Amino acid sequence: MNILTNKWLLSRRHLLRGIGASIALPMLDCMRLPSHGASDIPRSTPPKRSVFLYIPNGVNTLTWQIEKAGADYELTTPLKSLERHRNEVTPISGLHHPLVIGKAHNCDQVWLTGANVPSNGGAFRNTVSADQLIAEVQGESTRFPSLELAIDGFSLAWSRDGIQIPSERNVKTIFERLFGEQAGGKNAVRRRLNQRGSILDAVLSDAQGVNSNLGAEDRNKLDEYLTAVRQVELRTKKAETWLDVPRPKLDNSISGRFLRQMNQDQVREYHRLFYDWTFAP
Amino acid sequence: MGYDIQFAYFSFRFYVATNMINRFPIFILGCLLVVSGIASAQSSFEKDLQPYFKMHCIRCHGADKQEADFRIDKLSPEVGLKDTPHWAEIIERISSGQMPPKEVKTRPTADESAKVIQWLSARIKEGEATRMARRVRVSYHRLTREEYVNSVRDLIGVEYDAADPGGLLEDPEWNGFERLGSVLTLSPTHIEKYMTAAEVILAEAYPDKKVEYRDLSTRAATLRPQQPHYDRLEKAGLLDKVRYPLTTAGELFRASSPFRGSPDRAFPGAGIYEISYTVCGLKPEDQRPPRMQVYEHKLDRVLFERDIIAPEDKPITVTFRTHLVRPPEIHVINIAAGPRHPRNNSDSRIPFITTADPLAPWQMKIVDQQGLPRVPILILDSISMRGPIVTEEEQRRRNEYMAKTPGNMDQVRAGLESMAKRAFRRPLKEGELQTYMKIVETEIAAGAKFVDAIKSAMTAILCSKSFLFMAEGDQSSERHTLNDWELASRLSYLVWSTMPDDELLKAAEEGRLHKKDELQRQLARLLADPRSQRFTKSFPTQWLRLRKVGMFAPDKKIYPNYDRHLEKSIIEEPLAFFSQVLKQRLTLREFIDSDWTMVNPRLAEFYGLPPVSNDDFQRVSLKPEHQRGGLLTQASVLSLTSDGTRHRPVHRGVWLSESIFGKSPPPPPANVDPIQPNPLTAPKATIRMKLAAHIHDPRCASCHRNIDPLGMAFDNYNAIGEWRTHEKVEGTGDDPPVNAKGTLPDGRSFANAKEFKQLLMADLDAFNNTFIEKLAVYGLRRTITFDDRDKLKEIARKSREKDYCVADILEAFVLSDLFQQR
Repeated sequence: MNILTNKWLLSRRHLLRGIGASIALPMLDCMRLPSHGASDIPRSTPPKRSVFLYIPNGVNTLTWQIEKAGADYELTTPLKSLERHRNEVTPISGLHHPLVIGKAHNCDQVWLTGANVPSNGGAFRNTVSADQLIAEVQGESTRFPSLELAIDGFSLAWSRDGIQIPSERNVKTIFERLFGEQAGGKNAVRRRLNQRGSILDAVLSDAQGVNSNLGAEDRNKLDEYLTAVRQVELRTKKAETWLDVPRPKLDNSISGRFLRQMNQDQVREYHRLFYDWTFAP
Repeated sequence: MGYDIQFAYFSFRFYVATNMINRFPIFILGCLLVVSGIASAQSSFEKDLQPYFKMHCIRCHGADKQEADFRIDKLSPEVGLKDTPHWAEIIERISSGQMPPKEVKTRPTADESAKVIQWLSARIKEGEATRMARRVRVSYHRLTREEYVNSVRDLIGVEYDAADPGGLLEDPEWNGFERLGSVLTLSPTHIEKYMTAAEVILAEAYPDKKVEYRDLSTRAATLRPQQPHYDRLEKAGLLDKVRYPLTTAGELFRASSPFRGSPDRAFPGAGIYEISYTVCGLKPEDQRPPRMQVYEHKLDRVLFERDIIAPEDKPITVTFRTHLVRPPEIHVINIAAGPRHPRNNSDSRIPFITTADPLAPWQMKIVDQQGLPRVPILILDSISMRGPIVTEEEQRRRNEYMAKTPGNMDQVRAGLESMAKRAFRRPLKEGELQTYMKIVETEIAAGAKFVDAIKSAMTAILCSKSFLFMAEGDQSSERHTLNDWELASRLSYLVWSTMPDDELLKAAEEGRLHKKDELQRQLARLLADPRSQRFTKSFPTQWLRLRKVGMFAPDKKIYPNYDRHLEKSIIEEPLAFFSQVLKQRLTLREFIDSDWTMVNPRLAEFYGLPPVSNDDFQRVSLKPEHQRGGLLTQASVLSLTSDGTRHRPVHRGVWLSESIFGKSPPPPPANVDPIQPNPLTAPKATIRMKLAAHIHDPRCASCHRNIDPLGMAFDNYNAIGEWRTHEKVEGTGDDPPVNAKGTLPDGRSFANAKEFKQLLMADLDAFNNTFIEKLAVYGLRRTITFDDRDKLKEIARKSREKDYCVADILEAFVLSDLFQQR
């Protein structure tokens, strides 16, 4: 399950280019967007959201497939609960990944990427996932460009470099991230973010010293590290711009649901909490 | 070859996914190669090899049909430069006689096959130098979560609770292995978590306010003057004799923290604490002893768990250590307690002093007329906690890194240098320290406090690539041999899962570590240290894929005997077993079959062995009627290959094939119908019978005939590893008897698991090779490539020479050329 929005990767690339790192970025030219900086002020219009929910192990598609198209479409039995929202929803049926047909065992990895899984067991390298592409464009307007959440298993989100973006599973941790008050007040937080900034600067310049002559191996682990640090640097900057926008206040009865102790037996409630996140950010 | 049953989809997706990555690093090597000097080779390929392939292979592995999803016609003719793993596989299949299959009418002559093999092998050999030259100059291997925690502990003496919510992320694995450089990826979230971790660690190492060491005790049960029975007990002088009993399920003892009350009893601060409980445990005859579980409910972490046996008048003290960040909220539970019943002691207001109290209404509930316990009774007397505990060495290191005099930049420089050197496991490079000094300066200029500015620099050290990654090789030149510093890390992370200690670093500094006799001495020293437990725990866990135990929780209705205690016990068994084999210098044969195993009381009961009382793992001997011996009949292995409801012979076969024979079967084709559970109205059928019907599909049969027999051999063991002679299934009629007969791909047949193990024993070299390969993957932190083959063979030869002694295999590996190369 992914809840999304933003454009980290692109902005990162701009920065990387600015500092002259020799990393191959083939997609760059066709994806030019305004650079980060003063213009990066949160917008007042409600941001557009997209949510991807993934159900593993499959469903019986024959009972899900909507047979009658058009404005008077008929919802199938499993979708019946959407009936009262029918004027707000547009179901799209019959999508498939041409490269993935018959390779069902990699579902969660390629669900949002459609990457080709070699059928001979050869090298598999994933591609960017749809949610991250949307986040590149839409994430500008939200505090977090995207959220990767999972009830179980791994994340569905993959970066442009084909690296899996880890998901968070712990309800409390997610809650703290979205609604938690940061200790010490605004100025202390700002100081902390600045401090983080100089730490990131340092580890980056340390790693770049080595990376100045990247060899032919295009996907070096060091590249991965550099990319990650760069992105955190941007996240830190973004956090600072958002510092003046207060976090939404939640009623105790609502926050209590997310903060209490859960155990394995409360599967239903646990799942419900995860769906509730879609309204949260 | 669709894998059996309903849940195949989910779990095999997992299997296949890892199988993909499996070949990934090898394959990359294969396809990055430069084309050079292959013209002559190619002509020979067309002339000599193509006809052979056309004649014998393409029919099943070509455009029309792709048996096992494998195509030969699409492979690059640039043998040795491209598609190397695939060509290697072809060599392997032809030379082992598996291909072309026995059924075909026109088989190639041995000569024809030999010619093809020779030609292919020669090309692959020729390509080696080119392939090696194309390797990256520096390989980076990220520390796993476990290694990070251990390294931080050794660096600065702080235990980081990485697995807690908000801690570090779980590491991905490949075929069970969690420490492969290519698989351990890094995302921005990782970096954020590392930063937070570093801040938490440094806050504990250098607290803002001085942390006092406190050692406090409290009685488990105390009475206040206004409470009932106070006066009576005071008169009788029994006030300090009141105890807290735990006899029924669901009862909790909550008052476990002595850090309460006045300010001088406050919780001192984050750190490692030693906790002791004085307890008695009364075991009823023919029942399990009381089992004490100490559980931090806020952290959802079990801090301690143990069977307690001690008479009422002779309490014992149990002690353990744990890391605490805030005042602990601990529950003590007797998890072996009897069922809930009315009128138990927790409902009664009468304080508990002895089980023989004739006044108490619960007395007859918990003891019989002879005064013997009816249920497992745990009695708590007192609790004490002391800490935080910082060893002298830890404190010395912390002091060494931190400047003493505020504002003294020379001290800052010396401190950071000493910390960075240890953290990076090597001497610092020219100008490297400057980066960290600059942070201190910038931070001070920005108004940070002196100590905080230094902590910022320390955070940067803990988040730098040189700490988080083990780097091997030089950026400026082609170097395939490890230097002494890299070797020190490789050895230390192999045996201890942590950074090298002072002695190892000294050996590296003096440049003697790469010498075989020194390396041998250091290995022996590392193995003798208690930290080598990390190897005997971590390696078998990854090799045998023990993390999968309990992934599908067994159905409580079908397997009422299965619980958390059993699960923990069955996971411990192979680890204790491995440790025993290594320490006692036993051979690989013990893994296949043995007349002993390692059990705790719970496991002895489960296996039907004579009871043992000491709640530790101990060596016990096995008789044939116990139906156990070696790793393959241990409950862990038998249940990790099962699902929650039944055993899965095909999964057992795949597991054996991978873990013992070192071969990954190709993934099943898509959209094969699962095996349906037996209808209630149909006559009972074993899984084996249903599987036989299933693999009539020829696409399936070609692989299943190699996999299934391996798993069927263990059909006498159910999904949690219990022995049985009849398979319990739904349906009408009697439960069908188990048939564990089978035939190996090479034609040898067996009647049951025992005979199967004998066949494995007769062909120990196959297992020898697998074991060495697994060890190499673990130690080198990468997958094995074609170019490692000769070096692996050399280790296998040494192993044979030493009669397959596991300790000698480990030594041969560490002393091999392979271990000193990237």
